[in-house]
Amino acid sequence: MSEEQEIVAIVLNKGTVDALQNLSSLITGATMMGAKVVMFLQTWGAWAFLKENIKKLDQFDENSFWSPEYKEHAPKVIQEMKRAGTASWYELFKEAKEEGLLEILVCSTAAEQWGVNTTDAFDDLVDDITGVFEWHEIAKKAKYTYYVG
Amino acid sequence: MDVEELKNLKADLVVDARGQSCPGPMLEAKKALTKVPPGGILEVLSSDKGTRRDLPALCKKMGHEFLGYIEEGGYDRLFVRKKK
Repeated sequence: MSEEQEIVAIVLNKGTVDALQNLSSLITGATMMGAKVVMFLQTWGAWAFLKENIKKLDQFDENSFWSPEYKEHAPKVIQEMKRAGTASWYELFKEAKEEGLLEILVCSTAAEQWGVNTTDAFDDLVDDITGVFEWHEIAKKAKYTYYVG
Repeated sequence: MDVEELKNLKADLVVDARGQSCPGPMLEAKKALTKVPPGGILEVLSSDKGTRRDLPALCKKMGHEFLGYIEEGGYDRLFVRKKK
């Protein structure tokens, strides 16, 4: 990570498709403007990126994991996203990753909560497992931090 | 550039991102810019209103020149000159 590069820090503690879809737009905007995005996955963010869960998090499926308060609106939102050609959140994350502008770290406590201690249990988008102390060092270099929870 | 000047521009490449929501048109524009020669013109067709403000911001960041846009029926034609 170069000293000059703008960093955007994101703490994600939510594993619903509505959160991930909107987050993917923010990440794309930041990376296209040249920033590096570093994400820290806490409990529910980590849950979403487990291999066994991530493929089920389809924003175009009304039976996927939507926030309960918005679930009744899912069919309409999906219809609108399809009409508007909205990109899949996973593809946008992947694109940012392939450009080397997205790093995803799992909170070690969250990993423990899900009974895992290596990145093997997580999707390939995940880079590593780390603690809140290293995260603090990363976040303090960031220009701004989003908390999504 | 005013609308008449924009209408007379001959684009080196036109990318049609109509029907795509944000950030689709921006992704299309960024990819298309790699195919335009230095100093060349890219025309982006977008029905997403956010592109009017997003594309100038991206151009400023990347060093390209945003030349302006023309409103058509239900979409915009936006023009960028790629940096030399």
